[in-house]
Amino acid sequence: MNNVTSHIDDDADLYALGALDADERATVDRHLATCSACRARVGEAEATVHALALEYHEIVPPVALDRRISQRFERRAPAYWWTAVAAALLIGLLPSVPLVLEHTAQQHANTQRDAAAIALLNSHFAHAQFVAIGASGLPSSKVIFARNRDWMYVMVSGSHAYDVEGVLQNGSAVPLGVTVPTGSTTSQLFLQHAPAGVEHVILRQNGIAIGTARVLTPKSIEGH
Amino acid sequence: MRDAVLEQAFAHGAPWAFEAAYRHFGGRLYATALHLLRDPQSAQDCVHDVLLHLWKRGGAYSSDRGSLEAFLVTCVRNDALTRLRNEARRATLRRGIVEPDRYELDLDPIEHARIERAIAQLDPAHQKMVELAYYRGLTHSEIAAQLAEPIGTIKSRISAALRSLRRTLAPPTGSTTA
Repeated sequence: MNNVTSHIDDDADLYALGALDADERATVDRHLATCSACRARVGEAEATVHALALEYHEIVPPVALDRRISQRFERRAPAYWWTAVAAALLIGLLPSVPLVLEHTAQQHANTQRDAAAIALLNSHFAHAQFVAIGASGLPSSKVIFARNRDWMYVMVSGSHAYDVEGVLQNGSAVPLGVTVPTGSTTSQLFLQHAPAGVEHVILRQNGIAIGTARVLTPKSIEGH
Repeated sequence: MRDAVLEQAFAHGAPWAFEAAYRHFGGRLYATALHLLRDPQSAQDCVHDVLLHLWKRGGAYSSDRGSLEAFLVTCVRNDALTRLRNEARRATLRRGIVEPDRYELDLDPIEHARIERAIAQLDPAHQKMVELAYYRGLTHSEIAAQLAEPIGTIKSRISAALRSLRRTLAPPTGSTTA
């Protein structure tokens, strides 16, 4: 492979086996950073090399290595259960979508999902259920938000788009955005910079308020 | 079974995910390094340095590449082979990983039998590629020199051998769990 823009072809197998020299491997690494097709191709080769590695029993690493890894990473690590809960919440509530998306709205929704995943994995959050306003039908819906209000994530079951509005302490309303359907199961809006001072979030369908959620952080509704 | 939570966090560079990956796969990674390097201290350095390098570099892994464990095994194997090559220990490498040492290591008898059967199904030229590239850790150019054949031929043959093995060895892909 001489060109970083050409696909790596057979080099995928040689890469996984360790049969390339250092320069060739670096070239493959650069290509993999930009080519999902070749990442999948290398992944297949890596799975085969991994299968060969199963020939040997695992060996418990020395305590000294445990200590080195812990010292390097542990101080920066939240408890695994917390992150697992955050991600399980996210993944459990969202539909699985194909990795390759062509529809613009779907791509937008996927980008939102990724941004929300990063936010959930890296910060403390709270959540609140929407409560129906009047007799209108309110689908199952929830808002998840950072305790410091850096971000806000609205999810509504179903495939409709909903206007989302914030209500400030003085009673004035500010538009926050519109939820985007990710398929047939949820519609979502991720705000990376939620406006300060929002106390309630209103969900509107065709201009009619159908639900409200309180986004203060009383201890009783905090996620953790 | 793949762990979608861990894979996603690792891909995003969350530090906790690197330690969690070590807790999950450390035994496999250390075994991979030790079997190539034959030195506990070097094997420890290899596993530690690979995780640290991946964390600092960022973006090397994404879940569309496949399982995180397979990715890390490849990284450790590549790093271990680089250490051997850089330290000019090719003599040890050529002497070592296959016969008879290979059978003196702590083999899993079931997996070992399965792999032997899979390799036995390959044609002799492909068996030779698996032996030289995987078990002896030679590069394609070293194999070409040893067999006095063109590099392009050797590269194609190595790739074909691994693809043949894939059909019988690789577990089903795409299985993830939260």
